[in-house]
Amino acid sequence: MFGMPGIVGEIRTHGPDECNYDKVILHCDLNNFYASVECLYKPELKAKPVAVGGSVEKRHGIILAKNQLAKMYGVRTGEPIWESVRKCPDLVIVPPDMSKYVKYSGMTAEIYARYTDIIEPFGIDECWLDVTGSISLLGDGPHIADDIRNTIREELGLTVSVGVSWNKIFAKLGSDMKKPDATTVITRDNYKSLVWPLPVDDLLFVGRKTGAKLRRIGVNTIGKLAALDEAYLVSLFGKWGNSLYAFANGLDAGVVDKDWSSIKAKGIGNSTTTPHDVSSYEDAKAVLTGLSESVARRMREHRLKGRTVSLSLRDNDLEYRERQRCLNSHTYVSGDILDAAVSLLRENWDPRKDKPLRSLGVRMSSLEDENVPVQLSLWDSDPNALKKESIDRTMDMIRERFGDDSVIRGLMLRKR
Amino acid sequence: MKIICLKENFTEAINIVQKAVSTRSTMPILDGILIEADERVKLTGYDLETGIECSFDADVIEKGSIVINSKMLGDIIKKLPEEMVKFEAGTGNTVVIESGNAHFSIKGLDSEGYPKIPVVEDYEKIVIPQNKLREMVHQTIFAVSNDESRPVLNGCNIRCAEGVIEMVAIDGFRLALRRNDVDGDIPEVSFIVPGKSLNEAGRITDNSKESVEIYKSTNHIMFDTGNVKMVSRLIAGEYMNYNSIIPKTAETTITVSPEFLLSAIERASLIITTDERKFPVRLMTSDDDRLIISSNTEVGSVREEVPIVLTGNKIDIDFNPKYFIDALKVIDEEEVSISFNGNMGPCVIRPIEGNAFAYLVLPLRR
Repeated sequence: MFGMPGIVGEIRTHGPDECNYDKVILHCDLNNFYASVECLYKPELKAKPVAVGGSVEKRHGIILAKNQLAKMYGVRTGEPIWESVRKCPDLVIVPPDMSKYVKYSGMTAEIYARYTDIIEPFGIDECWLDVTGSISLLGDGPHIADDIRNTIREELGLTVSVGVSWNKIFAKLGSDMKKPDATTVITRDNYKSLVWPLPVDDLLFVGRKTGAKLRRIGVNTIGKLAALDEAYLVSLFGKWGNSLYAFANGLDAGVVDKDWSSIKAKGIGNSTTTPHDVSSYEDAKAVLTGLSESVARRMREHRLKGRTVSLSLRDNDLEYRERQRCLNSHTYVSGDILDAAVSLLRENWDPRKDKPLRSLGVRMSSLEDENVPVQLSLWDSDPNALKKESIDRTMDMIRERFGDDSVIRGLMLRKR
Repeated sequence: MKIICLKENFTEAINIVQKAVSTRSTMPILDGILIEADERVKLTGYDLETGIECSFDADVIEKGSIVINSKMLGDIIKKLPEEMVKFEAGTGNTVVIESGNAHFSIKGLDSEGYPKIPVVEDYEKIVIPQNKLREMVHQTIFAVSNDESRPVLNGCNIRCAEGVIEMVAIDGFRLALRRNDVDGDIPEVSFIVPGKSLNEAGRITDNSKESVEIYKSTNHIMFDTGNVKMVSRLIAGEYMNYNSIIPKTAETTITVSPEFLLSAIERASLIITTDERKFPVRLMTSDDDRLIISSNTEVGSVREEVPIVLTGNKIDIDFNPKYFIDALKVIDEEEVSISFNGNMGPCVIRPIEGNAFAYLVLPLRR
């Protein structure tokens, strides 16, 4: 291990008695994933600018993904379709088909699994690989990265950009640097020249709010962030300040979490963009009723109960918020989820003061198997819990036999 | 100040007051121990919530006071080479510690800045033997709740009336109650002591019949064993009316040896290797003189029978074994009576005679 080239096997001393080897972490990002998969199904599109987009009528009229050609015309992810068409009149717009993407995502996961078993997916088209244990067998980090790229190109016809570094944050930055079909290696020798000049917003988890706050104090690059005093960052951001400091300086010790496997869901959620802006509690409650029902139904389908309810809100200024609450016990009863979502809504949104809502989401996490026994408690053990569960399961069965609209809540009836 | 004392006495006092020294404070002085020399030597630790004072005999050559970092002081005194320790605070708050050939010169802090432990005034006084208090704490404290959303349950309720002292802890899933007769007069009071402080109070007492004096004011409580004084804030608020929670009637009652039952449940839980709640221990009766204790997990299964005398309905109930184990471990009786109320109702462990204790446990719903 001692003689290995590159960042592999380099000895780092962290304290007087401690001596550690750096990890070798890869971040793989499939290039233009949705659009590339669509082109595999329709090869005639390959030479044309292609974008995957929602339907204009239902206000989902934005670009979800585009291919390299469309990119050259200036088409950007997230912009309205009409704007892209103005830039690129020949743009071919394909409606999204998640089942295709899930299938290809699974196929890439099988390829990654040939190189390591420590894989943490990050969305459908990205993931981290910890290949530290594989280098003596398969070659160093950059070599494995190139190998993965070639395999994915040859076997699937897709391209992937790979970042190689000793921490997850820099590996992720690396995969963004060269596209498509490229390997970028960020080492302890070159990170100051490669990473530090980048805009601070490029750093993972630095969103609009944090980015704006940093810019206000004159921090516009990752290097400037790294140079700040950690205590000062903590005074600005609280605990988050420690993380920012670590991220910018390559000190992030986050491990590639293989338990984050896609097989075992961490949460089940649904969100929707409404056809009209929501500006009253009643309308919002109707939307949440539908979302809670579908989330609860999926949970019952998977025989999982959850204990944490999250509500996400996006107003018509696209400002996004998420709030969550822990329930007293695990549940998959639609009504329980709805009650929690509604009370979260009332605490965090006031239609008289706040902007109308454009999209709402409900998510359940802290999941566990439905058969885990329930510890009875001295209070608020709902005496009707079993009855409610059986009503919901009965409704599931009726819907399965007679269709989704065969049984509905009274509240939804009013909306028709 | 200048004192000469025994290493053993010094170390013991440091160990006691260190329990009340904060480990992560923002003020350096709170990381310190206050040392005051007068007739005797008094050490103080205070994290602004719990304060402990401990006094010991020493040859006080010169009176005075100083504050010195708790961890540093503890480590130094513990490692000194000889039994005799000379401790001197001179100008500029420099502390000189000498023992045998070892000579330390350590920076201290001015004792002026050390916060004052609240004085417990207008108090009600309860006097009980130290071993009784220690026992009662040990027998109830495990049921104190950690759930911060119900602060009153983060402590034990101590209630005195008519010559009886009661200590109760409830975490929502179980309850632990102990009663003891007290000789002499006791006031009629009810108050809630934070679990952490009560735990320390249990530690400053010993197994002797010497008395501990408990002073209770509106917001604070002090435990005084003579050498050691501990002051804590009280938890404000009304405690739960626990008498209404403990059922008076039962569908089933069994008498059983707590020792047999405890070891059977401990054996049954050996194969519960994951989250306790996921796999319960099942208590079941098929006839009137045997209780079947069993468990089925991904590892395998276990089954054991314990002799009992049953009156009432047969039972088949799932429990979190931990709750039974915690309670049975602190019961020192030949036999106990356990009452059940169906597989959703509370179960209560009581003595065969009298009402010295009650341990309530709620079942797991299948």
